[in-house]
Amino acid sequence: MPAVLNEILDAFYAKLSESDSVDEQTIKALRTLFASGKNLKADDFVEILSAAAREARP
Amino acid sequence: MIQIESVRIRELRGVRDLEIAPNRKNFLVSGPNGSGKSGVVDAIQFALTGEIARLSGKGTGGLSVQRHGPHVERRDDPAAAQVSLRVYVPEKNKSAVLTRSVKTAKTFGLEPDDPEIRAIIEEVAQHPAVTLSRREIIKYILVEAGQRSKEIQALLKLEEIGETRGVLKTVSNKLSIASKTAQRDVESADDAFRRHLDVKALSKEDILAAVNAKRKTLGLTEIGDLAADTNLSAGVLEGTAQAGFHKESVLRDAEAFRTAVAGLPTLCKKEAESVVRDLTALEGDPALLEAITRRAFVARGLALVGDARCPLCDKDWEDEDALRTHLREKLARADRAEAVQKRLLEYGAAIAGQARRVAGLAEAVELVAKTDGPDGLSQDLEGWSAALRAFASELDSVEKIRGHHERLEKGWTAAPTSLNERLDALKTAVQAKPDQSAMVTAQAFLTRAQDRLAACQSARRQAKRAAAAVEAGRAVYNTYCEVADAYLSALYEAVENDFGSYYRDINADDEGGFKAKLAPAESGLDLEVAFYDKGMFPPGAYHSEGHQDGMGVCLYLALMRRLLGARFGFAVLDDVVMSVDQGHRKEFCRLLKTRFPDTQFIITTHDKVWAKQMQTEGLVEAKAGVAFHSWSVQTGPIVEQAAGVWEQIEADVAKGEMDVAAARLRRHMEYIAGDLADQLGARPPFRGDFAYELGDLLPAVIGRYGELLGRAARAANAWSSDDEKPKVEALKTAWSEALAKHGGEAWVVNKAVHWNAWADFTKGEFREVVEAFKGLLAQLSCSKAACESWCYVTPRKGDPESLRCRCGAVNVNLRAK
Repeated sequence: MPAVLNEILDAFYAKLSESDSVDEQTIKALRTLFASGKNLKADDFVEILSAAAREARP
Repeated sequence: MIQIESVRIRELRGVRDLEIAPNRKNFLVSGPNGSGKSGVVDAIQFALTGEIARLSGKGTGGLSVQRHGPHVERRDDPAAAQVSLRVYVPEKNKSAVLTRSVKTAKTFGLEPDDPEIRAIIEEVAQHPAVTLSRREIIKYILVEAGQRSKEIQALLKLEEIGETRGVLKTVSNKLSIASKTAQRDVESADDAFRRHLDVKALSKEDILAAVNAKRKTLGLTEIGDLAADTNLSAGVLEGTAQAGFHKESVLRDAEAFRTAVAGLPTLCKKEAESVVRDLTALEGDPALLEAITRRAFVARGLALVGDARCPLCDKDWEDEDALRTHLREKLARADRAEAVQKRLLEYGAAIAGQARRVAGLAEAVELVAKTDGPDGLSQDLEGWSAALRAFASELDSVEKIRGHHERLEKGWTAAPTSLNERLDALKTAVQAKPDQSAMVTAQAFLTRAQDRLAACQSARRQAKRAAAAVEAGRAVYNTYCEVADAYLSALYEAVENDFGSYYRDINADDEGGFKAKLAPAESGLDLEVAFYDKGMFPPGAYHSEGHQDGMGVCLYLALMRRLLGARFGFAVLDDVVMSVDQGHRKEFCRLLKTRFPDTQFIITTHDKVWAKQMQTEGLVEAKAGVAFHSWSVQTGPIVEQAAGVWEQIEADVAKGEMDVAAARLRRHMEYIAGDLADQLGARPPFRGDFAYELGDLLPAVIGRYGELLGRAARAANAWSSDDEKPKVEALKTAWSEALAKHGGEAWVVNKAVHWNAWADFTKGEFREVVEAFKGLLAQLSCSKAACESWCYVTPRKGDPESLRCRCGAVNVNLRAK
């Protein structure tokens, strides 16, 4: 992954951690997904965010 | 980054066998058009990347490195086409030899095979922009905003930023659609619960009133409050409620279903018509359709590209870049189709929600139809509701919606035949059933109420989760956009500042107030530049071709600095400032020297004057270059003697080739005298054809320098400067001695004017002329080896204030009180 995108992602995680809508566990899952080097698919993100909502908002 | 020590090229492009040795310094490759200069550029690019830019990209269809990389005489022997590059890695203080042949262009050999150096070279391979030709600089300047955006993003490796943004937007849209579906399910569940209770609204008071009335009938305690764990049928014995049959509720369900069936012809009619319109448009535009249907596929393929073979269809492309460009263009078409896709999915979700609602109503009736309905009604309702649910589940992707084009066009709600009549028959049958006892009715009511309350609660939980996911999706998308936009804005601002600053360096004489604005826009990346003080305009609007060339190089340098920072250690500039005039080229030399002192530039040019300028301005050392004088298929580039001009002249003299030496000396002195006349502000007699000869230029230079020394002496006296007086006196003495020692001004001038006579000189006589010129020139330049610049006056225009050299060792005041 190019250095520029990595720099943006680092700032993105830091900023996202200030959001009430996304917890640390979700940010960790996002980090893992971005770092995997896999082709980014919308459904992978949907799964992460839906799972986080299931756990956090019973 | 790396720097180049030497290059050995064999049987590649127009080169048969050539070795050059830049030795980590700036290096000049000069020669007339068609002499093979670009072969050197191709070779360096090939060695580093395995690709050759001029054999790929737009307008190069059918060309490939494999077929057209080898020399034409060795086109069937790609193994013979080989480049060896000896590179130096400053941060590791190590050198290694990289070798790559056309036969195995995707890999390279390294000796010694140091993993750290290999990794650095592989990183360089990711930046083919280290070689820049004139046709490439224009793509940053004279292109539409969208194309400029692509080119700049490609150079800065920013494509992935946009692609990630697109994926996160899709995520946000998908979550939003899922949430709307969940909300519709809540409405359906609420509707069923409200209908069963036979209340107007699901207020706590109304629910408890309806439920407690039945509980009272059964002698059960009333429920005081409605909480998440409240069981409306608490106390009712299981299995006593006739499978939940409640006559009035069943009749209300049947009536609700009948009402829904009556509304079927207009249910989501507008949405369905819109979907049909979009599907028809898509099917009439195969490219748009393909863009939508294959977006994920293409995106996946793009991520898997590793060489020139398409990972999706195994087709071999000319090169990897062409394949990537092709796939990116496909993705761009998909982005244009995004609006259509979004509308289809939104309306598809709306129709799906209604389909599920109708299915739910049918299912409620289907239970009682099993026992009390006319023959076949239960099976028909079961089949229809299942079909509606299957249909609803198919409306979540464009591809699946396309499969229902005909159904949506002809009426997606088509109900089983004679449904109204059969529902009427069912109602009649239910109404005809004997009234249940109050006890049984109450038990069935409470059991069914609890079931429907549980369904409401479940739907609400689901909707709440979906809403939370939407919030999270929006936060992720918005945060990413905010961060990426801020980063890109800062990046573009830094680039535009550097770009403007570099351009001002080159054009300080007439565009010292130049500024540029690089701004992201809907259509791509807008570039506007100041044109004097008349406003901001596109770069091609008013600036000359030469200025546009200058802009292109400056923008390139600004981008490379931003991309690589201190690692911008090396670049090849292939004839990039050919339209820039002589004066501005000097400033360009200074720009490269002062702003990029740690970057090694390998510069090609067909322009001899420009080649000389680079040397006299100190951008390229005298011997750091190779000059081709011609080329043939058999020999490749024919190299001029690589020694400095004085050594070349001496070599000519030693061989007794006085005519060659005389021509070389004259050409050299004519160039130097022209340069000095410009630097010192000398005034040779004006020539309308501007074809100044040595006899015009040299006397003017000698006269001007003497005049400047006279001014300096007067200024020193006027200021009574004890520091300046001896300094100026020393310069005057040295100048007089130089003229006197070599026969005086008249001698030199006469010999210069009658240069044709040189060809008849003996070796000794000719060497005297050479020494005379060398001695004279020594007085007009700085003696320090690190500087070696000509003396020049500042400012360049108007009354001169000082005479100086670049390093400041020569620096005398010319302005008297």
